[in-house]
Amino acid sequence: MNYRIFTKKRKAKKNPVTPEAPSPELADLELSSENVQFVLGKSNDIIFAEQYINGKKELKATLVFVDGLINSKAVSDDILKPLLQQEQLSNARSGKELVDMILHGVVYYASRKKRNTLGELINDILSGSAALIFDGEKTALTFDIKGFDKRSISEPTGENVTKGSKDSFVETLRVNTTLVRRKIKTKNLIIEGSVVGKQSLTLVSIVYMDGITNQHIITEVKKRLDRIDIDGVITTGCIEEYIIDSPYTIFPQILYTERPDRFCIHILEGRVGLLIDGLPLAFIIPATINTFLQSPEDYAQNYIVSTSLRVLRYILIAITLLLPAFYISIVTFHLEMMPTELALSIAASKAGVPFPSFTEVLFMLISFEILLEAGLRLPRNIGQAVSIVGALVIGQAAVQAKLVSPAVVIIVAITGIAGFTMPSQDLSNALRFSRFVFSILASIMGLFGFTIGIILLLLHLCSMETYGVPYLSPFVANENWKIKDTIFRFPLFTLKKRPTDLKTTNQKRQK
Amino acid sequence: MKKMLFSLLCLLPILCSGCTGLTIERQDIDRTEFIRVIGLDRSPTDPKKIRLTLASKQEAKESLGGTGGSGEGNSSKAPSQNAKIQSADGFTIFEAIRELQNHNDKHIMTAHVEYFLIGESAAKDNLLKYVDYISRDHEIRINANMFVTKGTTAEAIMQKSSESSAFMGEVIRTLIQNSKGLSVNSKIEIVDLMGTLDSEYIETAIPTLELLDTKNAAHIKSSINLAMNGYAIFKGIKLLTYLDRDTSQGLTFIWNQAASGVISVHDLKGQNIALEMINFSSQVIPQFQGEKLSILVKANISSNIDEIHSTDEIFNEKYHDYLNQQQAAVVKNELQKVITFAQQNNVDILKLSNVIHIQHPIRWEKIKKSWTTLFPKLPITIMVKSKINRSYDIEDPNRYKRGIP
Repeated sequence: MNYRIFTKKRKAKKNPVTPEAPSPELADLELSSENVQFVLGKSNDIIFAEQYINGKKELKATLVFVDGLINSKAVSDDILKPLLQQEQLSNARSGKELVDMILHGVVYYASRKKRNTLGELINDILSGSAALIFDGEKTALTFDIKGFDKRSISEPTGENVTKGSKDSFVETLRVNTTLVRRKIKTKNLIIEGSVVGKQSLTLVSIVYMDGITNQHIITEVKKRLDRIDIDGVITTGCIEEYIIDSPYTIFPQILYTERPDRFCIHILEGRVGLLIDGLPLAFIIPATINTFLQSPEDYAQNYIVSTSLRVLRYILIAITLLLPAFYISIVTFHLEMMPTELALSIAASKAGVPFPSFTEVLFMLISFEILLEAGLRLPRNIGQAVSIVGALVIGQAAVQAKLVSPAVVIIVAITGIAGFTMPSQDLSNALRFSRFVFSILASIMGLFGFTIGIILLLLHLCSMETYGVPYLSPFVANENWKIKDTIFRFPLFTLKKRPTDLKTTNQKRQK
Repeated sequence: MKKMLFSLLCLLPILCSGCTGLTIERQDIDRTEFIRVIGLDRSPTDPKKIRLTLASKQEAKESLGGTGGSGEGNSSKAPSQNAKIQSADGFTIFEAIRELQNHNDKHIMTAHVEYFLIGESAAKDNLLKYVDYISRDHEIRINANMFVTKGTTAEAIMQKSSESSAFMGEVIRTLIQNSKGLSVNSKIEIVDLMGTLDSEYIETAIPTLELLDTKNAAHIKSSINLAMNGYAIFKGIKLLTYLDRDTSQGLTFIWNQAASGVISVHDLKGQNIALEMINFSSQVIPQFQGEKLSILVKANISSNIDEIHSTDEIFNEKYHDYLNQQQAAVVKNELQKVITFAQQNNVDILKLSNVIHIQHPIRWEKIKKSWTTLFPKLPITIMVKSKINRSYDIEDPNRYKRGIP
């Protein structure tokens, strides 16, 4: 695989943000409850509680946690109660022995860590751990005892499921990794961790299949994640825009999904997945144009039906992208291309409309975008009003007022509906934007401009790579023209090998 | 940089296509006049000029006045008309079109012209004068159909047709579709006409279109006042004559263009039997015996029995043989008629020269110079193979046991 693009692109500025690498100002401070109070004391949701172990004043520790982030009941039952009631602890002769006893099971909470630096301790506390600070030993024990409210697993809202599992990713990373583990139980499923965001310290899990996924892609994903030097990961773009190859293109290069089944299909094919804490979405890397046009339902339905639907999707891409431009071209420049009856019919419908055809089309396309945007932003119960206003004002009144011709309304409606069939909203958005460019080119030069637009688009797409994989693969750079799972969906038992463009370590999928 | 260069390389062949003075003209659809039928006549006022008549289908609400050509054009439209008819005179068709454009509120577009009607006077004058623009102009579709208006001018037919209920373009389309049912005519497109006009030895035959007085006609009453009834035959560039229906059918047969048709035969008692031609093929085979050329015309016809007027039992082998002989005789007679006509007038409308040229190119080179003298005396043999395939209802006619009452 040609990975020259990795070296050609932005030079890596390695800035790994990890809990193990505390900020410089904390490195100078020693671990003590006083210093913790100094660092975190300004926030009133940080709780400090001094505890006497087993009631002995000489054995004391400070309990620190973020109120609301931890499970209070678990703290009381599993940490405080043993500290007060376990008689073994009173036998401890020194602080060091006490820490050792707690670390080895006297306090019965499984997820515990010993921290010796202030930075590590602060990160643990802010991530939802309860900390016991032993000032005399300059040591702290942290218990991962997160207990904040989280959304339960529900049906995906952005990707409808008709025949398949109805669960979807949630905002909690650990729940998401569990969803993946429940579907892929092999030891080869690797979930590595990373932290992104200087201030947000967002956990990111890198998911891949050991022995299948190309090591170069895994390394490159990690490298690019390490390179991110951003304050916080609040939305998807905070990571996406830093790890894609071509940041100036409108076409999506990362596939998003909120469906664990779709995520797992791609992981098993040899792609790398990213799960980000706080986002109910997963990233799939590398994504090619083909992946944006596949739906998990394709594998749930009969392969002939799936193939027909996929072929239809490819046709609909052309329709949603080119139909307005094609219409403008033929009714403005190439009237001779139309069947006579159709030309007469369009001419009759346009009689009395004061605007040229391209103005009509652009006006309708913009109106359509306004309606879409309004429908998206408005509260759900008001959203219906937009569609009524849109249908009445744009669809009927504009035609009756002779502002637009019915033919243009039909063209824009077909264009819009064709765009809604795309399984990926990102691809749909890219096509929405591109159709304006095509329409403008067609308005200026007719089919001549239309053709130039297609050539430029193909040039652009052909020149794109994502993690070393050509964006248009497997339709390009595919020596044996292996397209069994592209426009077509061959029966699953014939798909013996994994996608060749991913250069997986183990090509063979089944015997 | 490489990408930019590559993009530029890809765009250069498009942007530098050699079309100097390329103007990209925007013409909106509602500002366009879609001409569907064009009529070409010799100008009645000045024989040196051409009378151009354009017909477009549109709603007519107003009357337009205008002049064209050398000031003798006019356009008229009445609310009852289904078409907008405009005409203008000019020394050339191109000039007449430009003159009409000058007096039109919309852009005249000839790309959607489906039918060209050449008036009788124009056909007798000089065919080439009227078809050169049609074959040369880039806008006109070369699959448009050609007609000669029999007995009248194209303008008269177009004016008259515009008063009927249906638009003439649609009527002509229906006529072409329906002509397959009788095989009297086949359609001739511009590209075919260009082929025959380019040929040195083949003469041109163009279907005719005539105006029927349907209200007073004795044999037919119809809402359609146009008819295709045979071919106009040209000798050189001038109209020679028109073929009658039977001879025209013979020409359609020899061109192997017949799709269906009705063959009328008789039973032993002289009653009518209608045969529906369901399959027809013909082949022209040039035969050389030494240097002596003869032509064999082979025709195969198969038909169904569609109507029986008698009460005879005809569904037996003997009767079928009798009917087959009659059918073969009808076809042979029609073929013979057109061959005789062609040879007598020395017009190779049968396209025999073309067949010989293709099948015997070396021998054709020797005889082509003497073709005009050879053709009238050429021995042409006709062989017709007739078959009556089946009947839609093989039952004997009602009351066949009693015979004719």
